[in-house]
Amino acid sequence: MPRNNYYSSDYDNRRICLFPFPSFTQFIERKRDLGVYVSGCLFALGWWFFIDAVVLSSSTDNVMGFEDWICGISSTLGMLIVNSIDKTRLTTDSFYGNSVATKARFLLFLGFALMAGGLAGSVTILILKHVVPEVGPNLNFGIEEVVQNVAIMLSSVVLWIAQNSESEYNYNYL
Amino acid sequence: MAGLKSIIALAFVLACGFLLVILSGALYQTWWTLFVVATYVLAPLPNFIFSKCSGNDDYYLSSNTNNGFKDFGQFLTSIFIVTGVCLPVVLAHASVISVPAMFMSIGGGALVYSTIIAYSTFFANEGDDF
Repeated sequence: MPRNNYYSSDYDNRRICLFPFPSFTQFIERKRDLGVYVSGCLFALGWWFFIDAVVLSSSTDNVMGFEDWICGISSTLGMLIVNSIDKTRLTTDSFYGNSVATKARFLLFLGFALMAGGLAGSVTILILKHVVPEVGPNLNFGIEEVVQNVAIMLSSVVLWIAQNSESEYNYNYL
Repeated sequence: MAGLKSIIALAFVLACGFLLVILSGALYQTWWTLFVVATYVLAPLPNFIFSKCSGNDDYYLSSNTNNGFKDFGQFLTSIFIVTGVCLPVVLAHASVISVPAMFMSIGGGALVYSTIIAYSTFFANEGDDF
């Protein structure tokens, strides 16, 4: 268990340095924690890219309107929906009745549709608002918006993988 | 490990971090960089609170049901950490603060946060919550 790291000097005579260096197996053990941290970092990075674009646009010429916010909000909503579903409900076959799995899959589809809609909408805004009118420096705003939605999607994927891999590990353990 | 020397060293590092952040504000007469300290002080709090919510660790086998709280706390903590780095970068990009002030506030914030982390790992009675 990772909690015994700082007391393991009594047991491990091979250690040279005073501080215990994290080993690779320890990262494997804490895969879930690491995945959740990485996911949060990606989420915050995505939103900060967008905030950077909004701040820059408001300090120069006000090109960012509410339509630019919609993609990020929809991606975030989709991420909330996808990751608040109990994953074990997706594969319940006729124990709780079939309706639970159907509802869970519908909600999951809704979440993924929101995320994909956010990404597609950001690409649409990049093309229609910033590429086609051929105004030079404003291209950065559209690109940052696409980066935001890709980062939110990646963060959701990382969170999903982290939570699911841990549950598989638990099943093996059981 | 948890001796007097480490306390003094941690206090020294904390003071250096605060010195860097305050200097980054005072040298350039823009005090926006002080928010970095606020985010780094707030950063361990969600992890701490939600790890208390996640129930007893003795029930290891049933801990999978309560892991949502712990995950949410870790998620919020990492959001705060990234915010502490990204806030000065965005401020510098919008030319509210200068680039040296950005580097000083990022370094100071990293020192403050690493002090908090080191303190909680050295002096934690049970577990490494942060």
